[in-house]
Formats: sequence, structure tokens, C-alpha cells
Amino acid sequence: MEEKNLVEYLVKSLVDHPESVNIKVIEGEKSTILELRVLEDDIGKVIGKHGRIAKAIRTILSAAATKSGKRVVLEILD
Amino acid sequence: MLMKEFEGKTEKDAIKIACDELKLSEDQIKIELIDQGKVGFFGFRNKSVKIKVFYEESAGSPYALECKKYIEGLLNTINIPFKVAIVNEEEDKVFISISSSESGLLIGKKGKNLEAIQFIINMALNKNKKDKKDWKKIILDIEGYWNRREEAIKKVAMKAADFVRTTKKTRLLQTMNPFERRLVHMTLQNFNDIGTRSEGDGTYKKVRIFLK
Repeated sequence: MEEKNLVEYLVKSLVDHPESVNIKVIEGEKSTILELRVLEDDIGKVIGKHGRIAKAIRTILSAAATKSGKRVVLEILD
Repeated sequence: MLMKEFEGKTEKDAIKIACDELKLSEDQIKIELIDQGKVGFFGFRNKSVKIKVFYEESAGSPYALECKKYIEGLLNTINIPFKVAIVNEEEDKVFISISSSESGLLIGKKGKNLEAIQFIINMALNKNKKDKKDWKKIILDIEGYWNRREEAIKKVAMKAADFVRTTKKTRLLQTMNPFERRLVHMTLQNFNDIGTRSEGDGTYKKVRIFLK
């Protein structure tokens, strides 16, 4: 799935432990949820100060998702 | 082959600006005249000359190549046609340009997507540098978007100043980032009768333009 690959690429480039990045895709009727898990030490690197990084990832994700016309939501789990 | 537009008072002037900005000599670029400018009364030009400049991209440092590779990898995941080129490099900055048939999608509303991509790239490639002073900033451009945006903001600022002068009211501009606000302040600082002030909190504020 395009959006999953995109998020995986972005997140792996940001964290110190790319091998423990895990993304689960939950397909719904209208929207898709991507559940992201990273190592505890890395969570700050994905969220950033005031959520700036998370916001940027979501912005890029929604831009990519407009191409397929589906709503894709990114959830960062801890 | 890359292309960029430049403006100058005369054709020679425009070529000089282009060479300075691209850090290339005149024989490394190919020039096409787009607008000769108007010759008004007494042979004075009252419009600037516009040229198109074609040039080959520079090879780039290992860091610049890494940036390029990163962007290519990123755009590959979303399946759109694109071309990435290293435009220029300074000691602490790398200028990279993307061209794509989907440029609108990559730029987003008011450059939102472009800003987000640029931000992430900077985070990803500088993540191992503890001190922010060691950062080598990556500046991404898509088909001259920042130039166009700069011109648009200057125009908005001038228009608002005219509005303030004629109506004697104040005018609050739309929300802008620090760079854009600075541009508004700079554009209007030479007018003695017009004042500018940022209002609001955080990174994104609004600029108010008023009569002094």
C-alpha cells in the first residue's frame, strides 16, 4: 500500500531504530487507519516539539492520500 | 537540463544576476529572452527584461547527493513522476529543486505540503547532529514556487499599504510564517507614512498595516 510505504519511509528515516518500526493498516469503508509503533526511545523523534514532526508527516500523508481519494489517518501508539 | 527565470534592468543585467545566483559563468548557461521590456519616452525602459536560463545541474557534495537520494526515495513511494536536481550549494545550505507534473499536489495550499516535506527532510538528514549550528539546511523548491510566493506577498503588502493610505483604516493580513512576515515588514519599511506590526502568538502570526 502506497500510504503505508510512505509513512514507513519517513518514520524510518527519522528514528534511531528503524528495525523496530511497525505499521498496522486497518482498512475501513471510507478511511484507512495506520497504526504506528516505534521503540519508546524513538517516540519523541516521530512526534517532535509541539507535535511538529507528527503534523508534517500527517500533512504529507494526506497529500498523498488525495490521489487515491481515500482518507488516511495516522495514529501514533505508545 | 534545468531552467530558471531571471529579471533585470537590461538583458546584460539579467544575465549577470543569473550567473551570480547560480554561481555559473556565462558560457555554462543558455539564455532565451522572454520579455524585452518596454521602451518608453526618450528611450527609457520602464519594464524589466525577463530571461529564461537553461543550465546543467552541478554534481554536488556527498551531503547534497544524500539529500537528492532521500527525496527520490520519498517521491518513489507515492508513485508520481518527478525529477530532482541539486541547484546550488553554500556552506550551510543546499538548494534542491523538484519538477513534477503533480507539482500542485507537492506544493499544497499556500505551500503547506512543500513546507512539511522540507521540514521532514531537514529533520531526517540532520538527526545525528546535536548542535543546531552544525545543521546544513536543505531548501526545497518546486518549479520556482518560493520566488512566485515572494512576489505575491510583496504585491499583497503594497496593495494593503495603498488601501490603508486611501481609507485611513488599518489592514490585517492573513496568517503568515516568520519568513513571509519579514518580507512584508521589509517591503514596507521604506514608506515613512506606513507602519507594520505582527500580532498574535506562536510561529504563525498576522501582520497589521497602519498609517503612522
